[in-house]
Amino acid sequence: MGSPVASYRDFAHTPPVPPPSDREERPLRPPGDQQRSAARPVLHVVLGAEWVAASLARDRVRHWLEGLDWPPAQLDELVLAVSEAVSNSVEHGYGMGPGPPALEEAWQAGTVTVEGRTVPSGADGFRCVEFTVCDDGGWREPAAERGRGHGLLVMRACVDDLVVDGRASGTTVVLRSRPAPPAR
Amino acid sequence: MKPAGDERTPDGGEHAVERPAREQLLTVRRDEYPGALVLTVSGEVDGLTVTRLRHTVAEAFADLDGRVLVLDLVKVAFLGSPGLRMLFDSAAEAVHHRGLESLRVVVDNSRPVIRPIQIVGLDSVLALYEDVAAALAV
Repeated sequence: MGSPVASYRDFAHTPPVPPPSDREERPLRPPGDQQRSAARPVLHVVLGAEWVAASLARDRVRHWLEGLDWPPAQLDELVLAVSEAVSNSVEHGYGMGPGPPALEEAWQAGTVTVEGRTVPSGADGFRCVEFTVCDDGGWREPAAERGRGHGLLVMRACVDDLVVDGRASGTTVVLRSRPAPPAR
Repeated sequence: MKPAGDERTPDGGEHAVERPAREQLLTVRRDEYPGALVLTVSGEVDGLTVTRLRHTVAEAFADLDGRVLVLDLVKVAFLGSPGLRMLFDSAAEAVHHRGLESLRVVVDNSRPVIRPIQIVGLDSVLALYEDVAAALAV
């Protein structure tokens, strides 16, 4: 594999808006609620790289995090962050502009893989989730056009740690969440 | 190669996620008032759906005829960066090309909408209101 064309590490800076407090917003679950599917320790989704991929990824990430009893405020932010990473892969990895793909583009589209896992974080059973979003399309730096930087800005604000590794062979984004309390 | 868009799930055991029809992901309702035109947006605004929303907003600008334009995003469940770009562009259109003071947007502090707006600083570009009545009362 070639050396990375672009690779940087971004640690969270203080966001302009304080992160939502999780402690007041836990949903109440009835005792003995066994209906929800058993929490899977790992998420693994492979999607065709077209615009609907972000929507499918959001549904899967939301479902997985709910199964892990993730705090709702953080859950929304992680869904947003993963959606941005998937959208970036579709747009920049495969050169697809917004909107429905032309038939030719659909045939040439590659795949976007979303993986998720939990990671212990500090004491008291706190945990983080780590998402990895990767594609096999070429990465090019978003052009310095008006509004182009929003996706990265949004991702950075929603997570504790963001790593973007762009190579000619494809891009991998790793997002690590803020710590969350243990599941009840 | 399988057609793009099919979901393959090696983790197995889960029911297949139905691919949502594009039309179901976003709906826009247009309501005409003597002094205003209100677009009520429901659903998800991302790269897939934003093009249709841009067209609807462009049509609304063309039909404004001196009235105020209000975007009601209260029923939006997801607002991604393509939607944020659209809002920046629409605000610029309103102010620089249509002679409006600002683009009026209704958000009821719903977190999925407010949070991305605040992250990118759109809250100082848009005129934000908590409900349509407030947006029309000005």
